[in-house]
Amino acid sequence: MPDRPVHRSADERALAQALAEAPANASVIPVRSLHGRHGLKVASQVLLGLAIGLLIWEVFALVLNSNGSPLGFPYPLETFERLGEYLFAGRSLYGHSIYEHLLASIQHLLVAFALAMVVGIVLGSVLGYFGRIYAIGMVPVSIYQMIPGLAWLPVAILMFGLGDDSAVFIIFAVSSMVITIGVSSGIRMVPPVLVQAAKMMGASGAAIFCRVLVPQASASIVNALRLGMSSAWRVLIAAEMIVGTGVGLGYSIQLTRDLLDYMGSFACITIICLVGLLIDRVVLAWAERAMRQRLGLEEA
Amino acid sequence: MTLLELSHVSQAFFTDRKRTRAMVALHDVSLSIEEGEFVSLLGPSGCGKTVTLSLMAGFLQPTEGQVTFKGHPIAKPDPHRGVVFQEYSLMPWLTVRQNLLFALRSSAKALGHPFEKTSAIRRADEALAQVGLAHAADRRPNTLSGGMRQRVAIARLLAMDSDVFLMDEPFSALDEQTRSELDRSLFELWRRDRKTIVFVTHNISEAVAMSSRIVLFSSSPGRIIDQWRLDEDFDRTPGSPAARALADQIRALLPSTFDSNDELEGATIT
Repeated sequence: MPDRPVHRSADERALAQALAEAPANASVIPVRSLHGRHGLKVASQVLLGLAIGLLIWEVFALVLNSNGSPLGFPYPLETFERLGEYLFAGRSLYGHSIYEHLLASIQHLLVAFALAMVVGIVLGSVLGYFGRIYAIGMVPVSIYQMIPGLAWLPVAILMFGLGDDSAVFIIFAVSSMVITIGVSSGIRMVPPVLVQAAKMMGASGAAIFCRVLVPQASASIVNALRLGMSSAWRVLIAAEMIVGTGVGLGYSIQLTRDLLDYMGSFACITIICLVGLLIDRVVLAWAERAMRQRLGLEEA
Repeated sequence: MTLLELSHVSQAFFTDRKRTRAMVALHDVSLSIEEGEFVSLLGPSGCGKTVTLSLMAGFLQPTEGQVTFKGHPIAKPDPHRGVVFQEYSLMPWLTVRQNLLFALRSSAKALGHPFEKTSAIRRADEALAQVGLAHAADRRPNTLSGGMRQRVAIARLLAMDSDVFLMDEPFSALDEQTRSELDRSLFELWRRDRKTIVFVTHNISEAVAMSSRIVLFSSSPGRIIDQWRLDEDFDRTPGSPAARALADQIRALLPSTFDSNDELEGATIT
């Protein structure tokens, strides 16, 4: 019986070809075109995933609308069309352009996140560094962290009344606790041997903190900021929906829903999703990778 | 001159979270290290040899008894007593040279010496040359092999010019060949400079190959059971009659479970 040919993947074929073309004693050889093909593969995976997501949405809408729902469940295409009108044709979303809504949301986000970052890094560092304070300090932190974002609403309203400040407070309350926990655990995860080595070399407490703990933990710190940002983004929309900020993407979802303009709501949800992805996957993921590489925690 | 002295030192640790039981890691240990000695602390695991080293470094305070350095009780770690740890302890975000500069800057500050960068760089590079790693000065620790990392850790102490090198099984994570290479170069270093070295190991042949004195510990609780001084002209070559006789003598003092085995722990036979 003849042997069946062994199946070889594209990677294996490319390597075999590179090997055949390379000089006999080379230890590192160039491989043609694999890199571009890899990018293509990732892109096609992302596109396929997107297409499946949209298909599910489409089927959902078809089924729901076939039952004769009076309002009409928006289809993907018409939602994108509407989004295009908001983005490019200057269609107003109840008095403000979508950019104004987006800008307002980002402003809420950045103010709250900046405050949360300062509080989270300082508090997290103190808790992470001082073992004795950690046991005590983690009690309130973990209690506050258990409070879901919107449960802060009465607190926010009592402190700031209706409006922007309340939304900012809610975002801050959630995000600062997430960052605190991430930063403190990052500092506590620094291998004790590095701290011992620094002590042996005579480093002071402050030097150990600034020149050993923080650099070694900085990848975890960036990761904590990333988690803080994504929880902030999530609660931002909910906070705007409820406290009546007057402008903002969350507020627009609420408004369009109240006015039964579901397609408008869907368009807002879509842009929220896109911006969130952009912040997390592109900006923060890049920062985290760059940090790990700079720190020598990852092979370059 | 006596550099380090433990007098009647006992050390106990809690063994459970409720703190109702304690383990005695060291019981009434007295030991002094003279300047220029190469002392190996040898023993099976759990015999308190690492605890002894931590006491000498100043990471631990004795439960009972006193540990002194040049006659003064040790309050905390300092650069006079340099440590090479069993685990890799280079700062991963710094290059090899920057790691040495970090050590030089910290120790200068701690000892109240002025720190001058140009001369510090020269000293760092000299120390690297001494361990044969001048070419690796600009590399990051994660690009170095385990043996190279431990050589940098030794260079760090050479650069700081510590009075005593406290080495806690520094080569135990390395493969056999690298370990014996590093053993040889450490011994050469000692023969040339006569740095005081305290070297913790559980490997009998490693101790015999390098030490000017071997201190044998027994476990549970850790005690010193015997000591041997090795003369200048002692034939340390692995497998030589003298080395083999000494190793046999040491082995005879240990519990029979270990007697067929040079490694006092684990299953490796060397």
